[in-house]
Amino acid sequence: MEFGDGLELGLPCVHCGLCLDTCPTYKISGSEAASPRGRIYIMEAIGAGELAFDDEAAGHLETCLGCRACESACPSGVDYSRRIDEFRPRLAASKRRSELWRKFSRRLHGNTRIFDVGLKAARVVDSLGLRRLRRRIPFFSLLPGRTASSNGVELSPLQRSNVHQPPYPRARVALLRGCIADRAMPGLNRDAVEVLQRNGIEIVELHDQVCCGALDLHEGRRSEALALARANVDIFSGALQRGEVDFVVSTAAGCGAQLREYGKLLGGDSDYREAAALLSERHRDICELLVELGFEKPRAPGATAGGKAGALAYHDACHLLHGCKVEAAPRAICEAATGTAPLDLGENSICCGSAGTYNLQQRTMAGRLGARKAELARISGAGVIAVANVGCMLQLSRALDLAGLRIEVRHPIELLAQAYRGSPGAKAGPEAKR
Amino acid sequence: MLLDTAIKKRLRDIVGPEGMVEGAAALKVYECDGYTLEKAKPELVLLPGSTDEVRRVLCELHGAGIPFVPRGAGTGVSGGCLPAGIPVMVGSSRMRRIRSIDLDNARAEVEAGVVNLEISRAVAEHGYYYAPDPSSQSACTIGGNVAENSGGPHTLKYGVTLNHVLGLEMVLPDGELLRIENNGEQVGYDLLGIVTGSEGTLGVITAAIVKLLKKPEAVATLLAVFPGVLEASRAVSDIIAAGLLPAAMEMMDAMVIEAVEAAYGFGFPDDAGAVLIVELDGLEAGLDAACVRVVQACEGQGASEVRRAADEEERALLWKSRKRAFGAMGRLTPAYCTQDGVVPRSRLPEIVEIIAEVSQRHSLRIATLMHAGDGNVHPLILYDDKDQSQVEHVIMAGNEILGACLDLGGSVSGEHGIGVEKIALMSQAFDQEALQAMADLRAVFNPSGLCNPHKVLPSDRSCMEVKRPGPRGGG
Ligand SMILES: Cc1cc2nc3c(=O)[nH]c(=O)nc-3n(C[C@H](O)[C@H](O)[C@H](O)COP(=O)(O)OP(=O)(O)OC[C@H]3O[C@@H](n4cnc5c(N)ncnc54)[C@H](O)[C@@H]3O)c2cc1C
Ligand code: SF4
Ligand code: SF4
Repeated sequence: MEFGDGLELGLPCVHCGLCLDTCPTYKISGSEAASPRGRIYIMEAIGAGELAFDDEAAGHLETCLGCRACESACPSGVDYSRRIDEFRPRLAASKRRSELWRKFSRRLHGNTRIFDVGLKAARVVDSLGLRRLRRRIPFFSLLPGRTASSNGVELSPLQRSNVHQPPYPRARVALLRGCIADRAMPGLNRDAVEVLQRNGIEIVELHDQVCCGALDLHEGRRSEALALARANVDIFSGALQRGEVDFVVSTAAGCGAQLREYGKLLGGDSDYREAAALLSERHRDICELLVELGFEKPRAPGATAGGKAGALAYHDACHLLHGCKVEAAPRAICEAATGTAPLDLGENSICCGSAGTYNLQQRTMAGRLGARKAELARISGAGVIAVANVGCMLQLSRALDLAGLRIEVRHPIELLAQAYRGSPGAKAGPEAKR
Repeated sequence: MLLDTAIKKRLRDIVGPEGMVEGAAALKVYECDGYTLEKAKPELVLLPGSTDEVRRVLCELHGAGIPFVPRGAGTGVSGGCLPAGIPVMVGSSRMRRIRSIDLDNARAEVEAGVVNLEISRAVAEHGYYYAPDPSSQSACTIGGNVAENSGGPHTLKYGVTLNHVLGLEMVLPDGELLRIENNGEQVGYDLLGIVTGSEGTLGVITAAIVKLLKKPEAVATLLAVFPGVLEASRAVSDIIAAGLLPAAMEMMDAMVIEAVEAAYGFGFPDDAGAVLIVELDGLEAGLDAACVRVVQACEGQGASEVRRAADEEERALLWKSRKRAFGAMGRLTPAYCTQDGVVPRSRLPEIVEIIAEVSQRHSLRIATLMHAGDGNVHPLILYDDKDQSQVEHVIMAGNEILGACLDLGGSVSGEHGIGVEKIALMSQAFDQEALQAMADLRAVFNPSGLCNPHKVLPSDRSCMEVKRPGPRGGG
């Protein structure tokens, strides 16, 4: 059967409504205009000339988190993110965004200085005891500050002496550093390196990698996003094709999910189609890779894992769960690191409100989603929440802070690295699967 | 335009800005529900946050003489929510509290906007669940379920929504609050029975007290593969004739199998003409013996393979494939229309043949899904919503199939309701006297006729301002 002009957008939406209740913005607002089915309907109506593309219509689309929970729920296989991404350039062109925001966001990925300056300032403010206040200021509120106390993200010093390239690597990987992760949480990438190497996986440094482009795509700067995608394909797929690396690994689910979209994104570019598909296919989230290849279980799990009393709860990052369909692996990492299966935070398929730059733009909705998570965290009684994405870590930390909860937020890989350090000398080889 | 700014302001004062949906784009979204053949845009959608807000809203609308239609999650497939000639919609999506869970008495009181599956989730850790399981249960609301008296695959053994509702809180169209409870024996008239299945024409349901059941001790789910729908439907009769009462007996034909296979990759054999899912539950003892009898019955009708779900994971995937089959049809077609008819179980083979004939005559592909144990058939008529002539054939084909259901001694709706879709068939199913009696009953609750007019019963005002789908309406 011919789908006609709907074809380039993938399978049609049959208006069944099964996606409604998985959508965070619908759950919170109750408005179907803020639901996946509603947004698709609005986009189609605009496309068909039945509806004006005005501030109101744009507003309903802009409150979309891009969390892709609707895709996991949709039995028809509607490619929601593709539809909204196609629409984003129009959203960006509409005069709704302030010029200031546009300038700011444009610089966000390229210019890491914003982060460095922001981070320094955040630490100073926090040291003056003003953290709760800072948590209310846009952008600034999200940065991890002084981390001596509970919620910040620990910037553990890299123990260089422990880092060796394995003599007989089981796999060679390139690490996608992620521009925000690299600035906001350098400790995480160091932990990742340590964990991978301890498991006999060699890290091949690939220089010149650029931002994954998720932010640009989200902001409707499609051509910039494509340019970044091509640059990364050149670097990573080149190394894959030459056999220099077996996988490309990320610690930030947002960047990882974007890499997996490259195949589709560059599907129309005959020069890049195959190389992009290769990169998408060989991308692995770090937890996923470790579970796939088999990893060493720490001898003294939990010894230093949480640091605090209270159980560990795991929360799914949307881009990992819905974007990469990775669900079990990070839980397995948490379990190995702490010795017990993590609790579920509840509403695991529901976004925390982080969603790229969403929490900088749609602050009310993001705040409400964050508060909802904080409440679930309180009910769960957890002392530590593990989540495998930097954006979510920052958003959850802020939400917990604002709710006055002293609950730590950690990446599963940090927990594992810490558990390894707590079981020194463990030389037991990983249970290799290949 | 019935709504002036003064009344809008008063309504806004009641529900607050978050409860008002009035932008053109947002209202557009509410122009249809899961039934997309007809569309009409409301002037205002109100999302009250509490029973009291509903009460005050209805008082206001009653005072001004403004018609309104209740809405849950809009997964209805007979156009029950269609706001044709109705300016105001009253939605339950902001009334989502579980008010109480009383495990000692195995009941829970939930607001109308609570999603069906949420109830089971809330009590799962104690080994309980809410039994009615419409395939849309991950999205549809309890209010909608009560309004449609929804069923599901497990209706065969456990009954429909009505069998699981112990009480209702509702607001009548004039704003009066009504609580109906049935604590054990029914004394006096069965008001719950009247309101359940009334398709939003008697008032706005604001909360329900529902029964909770203990999960069965053991469950066995079998999948039987048949060369065709006829053989599968004969096996259904044989299973019942063998004295078994399965919890569910669901059938999917080859086209449905193709769609769900594309969506979920369960691993149905690609040459299957039809599959039957049979679920048995109850006590551990005797379950295996019952399974053997099901296998015998299926093989007796030529099943090429009968297998039992090995574990909970396989069972879950099988049910996911079945429950999401409607939605998965998008893999085969840009649009489809779900029909819902009932025939006596023994006449399933006949309706199957009629559906095939109708399909051929109208040159339309029709996929069929059945709650076979109840004789409830869902022919899914696939079409292209951009082809106007096809749309007309879809409507004709649907009516012919439902007419045949009546001729076979069945009914024009198993669980999806009459809504607007099947109004015309009501005069075929009932005589004038019966229809008048129903209209009189409705007038007791809804004398002004303001609540969901032009639905369920044919009226002389059936000249609805209904828009047929445009060239690309997104249905
Ligand atoms: C994919 C799919 C599968 C389905 N499977 C099944 C199935 O297996 N079994 C089944 O029975 N149905 C099924 N349905 C139909 C539909 O889901 C049910 O009828 C469901 O109960 C509707 O609930 P809702 O909350 O979406 O109600 P809506 O669609 O919003 O409304 C349905 C009707 O109920 C009225 N109503 C809604 N809320 C209230 C209220 N609070 N007070 C008074 N009236 C109200 C409306 O006016 C309307 O007439 C399916 C639908 C889809 C799309
Ligand atoms: S996006 Fe998918 S789940 Fe949502 S209404 Fe459309 S077809 Fe149904
Ligand atoms: S991506 Fe997330 S927020 Fe956007 S429509 Fe889908 S579920 Fe809702």
